[in-house]
Amino acid sequence: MTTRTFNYTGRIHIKQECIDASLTGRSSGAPCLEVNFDWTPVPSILDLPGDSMVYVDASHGMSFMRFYHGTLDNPETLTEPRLTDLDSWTSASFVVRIVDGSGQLLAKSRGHTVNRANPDTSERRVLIIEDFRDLGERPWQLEVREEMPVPRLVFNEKWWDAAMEEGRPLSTDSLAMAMVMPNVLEGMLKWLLLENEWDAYQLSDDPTWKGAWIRFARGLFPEQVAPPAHEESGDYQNILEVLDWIGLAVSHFCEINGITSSLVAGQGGR
Amino acid sequence: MRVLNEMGLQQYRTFLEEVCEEGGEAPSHLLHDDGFSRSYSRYINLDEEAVFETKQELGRYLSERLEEAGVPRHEASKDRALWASVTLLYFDQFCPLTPEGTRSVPQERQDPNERYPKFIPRIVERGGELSLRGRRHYALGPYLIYEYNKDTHHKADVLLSGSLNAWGNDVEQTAGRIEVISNKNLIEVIRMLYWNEDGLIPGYGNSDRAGSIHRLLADLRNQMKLTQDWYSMTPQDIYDSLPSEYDEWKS
Repeated sequence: MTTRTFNYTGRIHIKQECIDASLTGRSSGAPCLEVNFDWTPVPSILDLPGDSMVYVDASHGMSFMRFYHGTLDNPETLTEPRLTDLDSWTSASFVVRIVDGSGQLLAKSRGHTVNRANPDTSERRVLIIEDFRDLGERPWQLEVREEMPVPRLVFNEKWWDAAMEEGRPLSTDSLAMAMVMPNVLEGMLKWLLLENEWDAYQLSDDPTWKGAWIRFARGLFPEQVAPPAHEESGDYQNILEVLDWIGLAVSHFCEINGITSSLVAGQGGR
Repeated sequence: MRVLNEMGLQQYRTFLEEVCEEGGEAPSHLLHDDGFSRSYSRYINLDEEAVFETKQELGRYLSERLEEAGVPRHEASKDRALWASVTLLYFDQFCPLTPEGTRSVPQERQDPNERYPKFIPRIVERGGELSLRGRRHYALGPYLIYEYNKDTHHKADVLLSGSLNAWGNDVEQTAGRIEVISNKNLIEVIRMLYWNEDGLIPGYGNSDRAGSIHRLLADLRNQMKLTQDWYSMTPQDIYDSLPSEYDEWKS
């Protein structure tokens, strides 16, 4: 069935082709929301009063920031449109609005979403996010604390930048990720089950990333084998059984993702 | 400040479920027990003896203490353990004893994920990332509303008036909408319409009444945003553009 939409507001629709947006940032911290405009795909915008103001309204969850991009006649390029106040520093939704001096909305885009390059798409639950900063000679490290919204895989800024300059961002470099991810998985499971001694059964129902990591690890086993449970005393009967389960989870992860094969193939290609 | 760990959150939930309504004493000892809590990663200096007359006082206090500790809003607003711990720390103010020695414990019986979202924030997933639903939380809600309006002269005094456990339709309607709490001009309009020297004008929160705050923030705002941009209009311009159903509130 065809659905027709009627626009009784007189408001102009800003097409996606008019907007070129990306999240950028060369250091850790809030990224910049870089937006450039080309109004030619919607000629009627060019007929609007030249002093109409252009705004980019960025939001994520319960956070909001408005960026003023000047007027149609005198556009302003923002030097550092950092999303400091947004809840998320990896993705942002935004809407472009053109408004006249009395607050009348003359044109508006649909909502758009931009993501910082990372391996988690918005359709999947986030288990870890990437970050980068100066780590001396250390190539990467896992940062996980209970209060964190999501754990961080922190890459050495020098490595990250070099990979970007080569046009091969670390997040999409299968060779780099193949070297890192088995250790990340092992580190996460040890942190959850051994360092914090949380019960895996209880964690399985946890709605946060902690539960998501346990469910992810269980899903790696062909039979969804659960990790050893706590005894009534609240301790594990045998720590070695937990270590074995973690080791098996990592092996299954490597098997499923063909980690060594990727490394061998990648080595041949370099 | 110390914050509850997963075990502590579970114990807190058990208290809310089993003995709170009978007037049981809040399990504040959980915040001093390494088995149930831990030190926060930064030093937040909250005075356990502090008393808050209004939600605005609470919002201001938390905003200032977190800023002093270097905890940015985007980080604090995602930390479930932090906000659950704040309600436990000041539990008798959020859930006071009645003269009969019982407590009225607000809960969401139908919510399978978090039955006590006023005390333990409910986790929601947005765009693949986890965040907290502040609109229902006794401490996170006032903190967010205050944070967005701390640079205004009114500092959201209307919305954050009343005691910590007074949680009306206005707070729910406001705290749950980022397009409302982040719009200082609109918050000022709310003040111009529903506030006088005696405080909030009775009836402002009655959703069935013409010109109520519910109508303003839900129905009218959704309609007006099709043609107007309230962020770029002055409070007086918004006020003057309101339809006739608001006339009785203007007088």
